[in-house]
Amino acid sequence: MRIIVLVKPGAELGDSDACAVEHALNIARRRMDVQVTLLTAGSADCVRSLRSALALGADDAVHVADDRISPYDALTLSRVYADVATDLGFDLVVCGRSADTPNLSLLPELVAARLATPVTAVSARSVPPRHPSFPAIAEARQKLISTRILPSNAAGAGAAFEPAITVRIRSSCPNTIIYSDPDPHAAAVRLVDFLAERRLA
Amino acid sequence: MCRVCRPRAADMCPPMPLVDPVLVLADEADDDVALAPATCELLTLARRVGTPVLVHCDHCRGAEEVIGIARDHLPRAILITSSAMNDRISAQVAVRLESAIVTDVTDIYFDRGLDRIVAISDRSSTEIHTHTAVITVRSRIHEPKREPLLPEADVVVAGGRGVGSAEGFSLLAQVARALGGCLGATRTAGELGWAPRHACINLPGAQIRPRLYLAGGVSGSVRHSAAIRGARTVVAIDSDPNAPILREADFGIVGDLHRILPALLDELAARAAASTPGSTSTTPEPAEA
Repeated sequence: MRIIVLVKPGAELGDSDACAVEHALNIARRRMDVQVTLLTAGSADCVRSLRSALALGADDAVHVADDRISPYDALTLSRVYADVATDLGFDLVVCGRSADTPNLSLLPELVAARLATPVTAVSARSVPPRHPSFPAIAEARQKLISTRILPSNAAGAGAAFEPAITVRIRSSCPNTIIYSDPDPHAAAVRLVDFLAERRLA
Repeated sequence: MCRVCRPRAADMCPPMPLVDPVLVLADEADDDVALAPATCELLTLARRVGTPVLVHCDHCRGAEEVIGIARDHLPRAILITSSAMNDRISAQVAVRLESAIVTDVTDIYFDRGLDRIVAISDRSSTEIHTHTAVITVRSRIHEPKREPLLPEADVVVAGGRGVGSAEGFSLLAQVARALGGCLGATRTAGELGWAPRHACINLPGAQIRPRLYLAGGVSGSVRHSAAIRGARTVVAIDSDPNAPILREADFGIVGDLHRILPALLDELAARAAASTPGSTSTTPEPAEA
């Protein structure tokens, strides 16, 4: 039996992805012959997060190496994940649901829609992951990470790798608005306006 | 010396109206008589980037309906309010139409220079390159439910030494209820007995990740800042203009929180009353599909 865990692209393993790996391992520990395979797509520094996930106990990993895929482009990521998962064959797909990363919160649903099978979505606080021991980290270095390259000259692939979106991250700190006004009502109005703009109130 | 602003010639000509259709999935609460507030908000956003086309359907078959209409109308964008049921619809539609998907959006606008829609969320702005995009819009309406626990809450209203007393904390608790969130406290406030232990935030190993963190009377120690780093939007109220937390906040108010918090509660109540479905709505009827 094979469980594929989808790992979001990035150098650091996200909390929801760690919880997803732990969830898959909980299933694997109860049965015989379960292989837990990680899958990620993106630039070369994704290998670091794969090694962290392998140290948690996953068996092997597949890295689709392509610098053109944006880490926030849920549509393209879901297509790549679905294609590779179908190619590898699976019995279950598990994916971490991250509320923090822009645009990727619906990644489990997108992959489920493409594969036409349910995808288990694990949220970041549900299953506490273990801390890897030093032997596990050392063993992780021996585990296999196979690299795939997407064909750049396949028919129709040119359109597929146009980025669907461009994301600009805005850092919060430089835009601090400080408001000091002796009238508390005016301050309250400005605050509620600020919250309403962000759909928080 | 005051400057008189004269309108430039370029501003006098109105810009070309945006005519591309924009699908809006109507809320299930809509009926023939009135539109739900969530739908009205989506229509307002839709008007910024095109001509709204309202899709009214049973949400169990929502994906098929939206896909069918999208294939006929070729909309520039499809706006859907984010919720558990709608998220499934959004994903199905995005995959079947091969359109970009942007989630948890708070605002959108049309960039005429780039000829693209730009969607704004808390920490990022996204330009859309594909011809159609599915945009899930953050739902503003909070269903009244039991108070969430601190580690899971979307909104945390916290107080520190500056609150001054347990009565001050009950005021913060009212604000937390008004915003649909839960109460938090710094370790100092917990030690002074003003807030219960389970509300304390900077315990080692506990990081919270709310969408909104509102701090009153919290000076902002390094440890506390580490505990709240995951918060997406930080609002701080403090009487000390040099408090470290004001540097980290997205919005800060310098003032007496015992006067500002009651004013905040009044303003929130006033806005909630103004936006209930019973009040008259002046939005004109959009084109129905």
